Amino acid sequence: MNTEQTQIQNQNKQIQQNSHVKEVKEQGGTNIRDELNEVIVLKDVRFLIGEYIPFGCNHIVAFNNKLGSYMRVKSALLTQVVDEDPGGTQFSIPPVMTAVQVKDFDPNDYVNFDAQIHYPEEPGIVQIENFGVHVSSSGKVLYGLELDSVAGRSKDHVSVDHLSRVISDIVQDSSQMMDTLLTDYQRKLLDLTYIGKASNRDKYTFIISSGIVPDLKAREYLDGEDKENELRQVLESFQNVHDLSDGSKILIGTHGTILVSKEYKKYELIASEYAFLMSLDVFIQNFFSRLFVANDAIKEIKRLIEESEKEPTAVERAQMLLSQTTSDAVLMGEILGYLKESTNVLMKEWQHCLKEMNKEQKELASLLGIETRVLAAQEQVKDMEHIVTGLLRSLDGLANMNETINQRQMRRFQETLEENARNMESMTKASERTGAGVAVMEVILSGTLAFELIDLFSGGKVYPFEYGTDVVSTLAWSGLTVGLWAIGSVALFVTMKWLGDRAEPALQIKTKINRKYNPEKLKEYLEKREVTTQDLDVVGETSRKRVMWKYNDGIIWEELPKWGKRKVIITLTYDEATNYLLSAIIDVERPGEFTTKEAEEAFFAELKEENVFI
Amino acid sequence: MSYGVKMLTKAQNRLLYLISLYSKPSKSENENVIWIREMPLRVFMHEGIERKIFDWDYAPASVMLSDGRKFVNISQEGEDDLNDLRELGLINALKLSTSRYYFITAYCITEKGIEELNKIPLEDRQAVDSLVRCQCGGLLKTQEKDGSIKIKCGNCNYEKESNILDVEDVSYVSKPYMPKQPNISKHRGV
Repeated sequence: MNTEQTQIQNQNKQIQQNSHVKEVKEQGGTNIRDELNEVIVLKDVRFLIGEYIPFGCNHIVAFNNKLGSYMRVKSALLTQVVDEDPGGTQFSIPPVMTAVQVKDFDPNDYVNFDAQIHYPEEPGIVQIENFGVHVSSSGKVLYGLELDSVAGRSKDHVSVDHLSRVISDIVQDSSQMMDTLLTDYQRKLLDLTYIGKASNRDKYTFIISSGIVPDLKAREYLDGEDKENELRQVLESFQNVHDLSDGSKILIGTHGTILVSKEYKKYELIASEYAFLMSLDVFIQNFFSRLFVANDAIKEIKRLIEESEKEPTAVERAQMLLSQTTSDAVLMGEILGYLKESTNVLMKEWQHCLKEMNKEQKELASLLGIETRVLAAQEQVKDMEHIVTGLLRSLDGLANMNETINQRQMRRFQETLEENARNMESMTKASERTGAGVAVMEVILSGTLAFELIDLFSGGKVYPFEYGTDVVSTLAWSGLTVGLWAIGSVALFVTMKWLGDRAEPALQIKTKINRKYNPEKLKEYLEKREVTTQDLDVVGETSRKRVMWKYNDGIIWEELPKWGKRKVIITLTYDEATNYLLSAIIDVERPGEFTTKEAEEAFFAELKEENVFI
Repeated sequence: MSYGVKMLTKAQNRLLYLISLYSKPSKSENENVIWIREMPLRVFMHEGIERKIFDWDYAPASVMLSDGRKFVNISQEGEDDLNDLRELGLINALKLSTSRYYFITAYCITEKGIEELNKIPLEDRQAVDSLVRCQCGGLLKTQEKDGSIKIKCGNCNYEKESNILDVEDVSYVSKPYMPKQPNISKHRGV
């Protein structure tokens, strides 16, 4: 394809895109069920949504790599799908992707990029969602967008009712987009802070508008009625409102701020810093709550250790919780490190910005109380450092307590073991005595049997010989009788030994598997076998199931593909909670039929053929 | 339009009656106070808006639920009326921390509020009854479970899912916007 063709194609694509944009601008629909009572309308709206994500120098390098900042073509499509088969040729994924275009970056410090999100929406809803993103190594993340049209209306007629819905959409979609770009470690830190709900994390919004209808004095919006209620949809509770000396208005809320100014450009820097600062505050609040979760976990560990004598699973649960909480506390310490660095950079940044500000900018900065807030954030971080240090010390103490309990239990276990060994020894001795007694009984029994037989064949005569009572006849008769007794005894011993040997399998193979299985396929595999026994052990998070089945049990004419006519008993152990095949025992009943390798290979080949393994 | 005693609006009358059905102040030290949590109240308020019982509108707001933070359709006019009822001393608000590490507010009608109930027109009472009473006569309750909020009847098997978590979308067109950021780097220094 030559350059001219490519240009024509790009132009066509642009024309199609523009016509699509035009259509959305003119006919953009909503699925709002309520009849909106629009009281306030904003003109020429742009907004910044801030959030804090723990970032360090290495993370920003990795982030730049993922975005392809170093590449010649600085744009790419991103998806949340993880390639499970990187060695394969093709794959198909849903068309839910984010297009990114890197604008500006410093490999170790920051990156600015544009993102276009293509997430599925309900029928009738078309969102052409383009926004700018700034990410810096101090953890500052800003999403900025300028509205061209909302719900089929032009950018000069954006109702606050509609704006609240656009903001909620961007807040959610930006989290989804960032998840594709963050490292696992960062996602882990976010999940820890937001207690596993990082995808629904909250953010702070700074709205900038060049005009507002009705145009009133800032205080007049606090009417306690319609206007205030309408603005609270994007600001939440009002903190402060002011008219600036240049005619601009600032409406400050707990969840958002609106700046109405015709000369908004001069306030952009302050807006960015404030949006980030407030989102940092949101993060700190969540992190502070998370400390209480850890504190409660410590209380629970302590309770479990104290109850270890009463609750049979207490020690195990305490150990699991202790290990989890310790790992969390270590990560919290790391988050605090990032926060500390971030607040220090923020303070430096702010000091630097202040030097370059004019009177009007300083007025807004003072109203927003930025410097005080940065100082407060630094203090909060310091305060939380003490709490995390305390948590780690408590966990150390609990680990020592747990160790003591473990040692105590181990001592008891050892004593019980010794006691059991002694009992076993006595039982073995008793069993040996009983065995000797049984052997004597067997000899006597075989004698009785021999005599009974002689009696039967001699017709009950004491001396079956005609010539009576001479010594030779008596000795011959006695010898014959004792001989028969001896033969009978030997035959009985041999029979008993043969039966004993038959009761024990000739070959027993114990094999560790430890491989992930497909639950559906395993179910199908087991359904084809006559499972005779099943056991289930549920301990904590594990659910171990043991199943046993036999091949060729009583059906001697059947010849199985892998096992032939051999009699085999298989015991398979697997964990239903984690979907892992753990171990198998293969018992071969008759000696010499199978080697260990053959039996193991036959069993694994069977599992592979039925696609039990993943 | 304001009408009724104490200049309560129609929506405020209805809201007061709604709270009275789910709360009860104690008459002695041995009797417990019954409160309604803010989220169930918001669910019924939202349901009331959808069924035109309350003349408010709503917008999505990020709030904490028992299973984490979510966007919920909340009526700021409704919240404002709740505050008005508090200021008039007709309801009390209780702030309490939950076992899941966040704070909630609960509401209870006061003795003064109970006196006001007699003055609420029958039409308003009937409208609220149609909202919170099941066909079997039982009082409906809400339950947050598995990421959704259900409205249920304790007496029969009636159950429906609330739309309060169903945040509506609008079509929009946006373009990237990013102001120039301070040229400060922790690596380059100030």
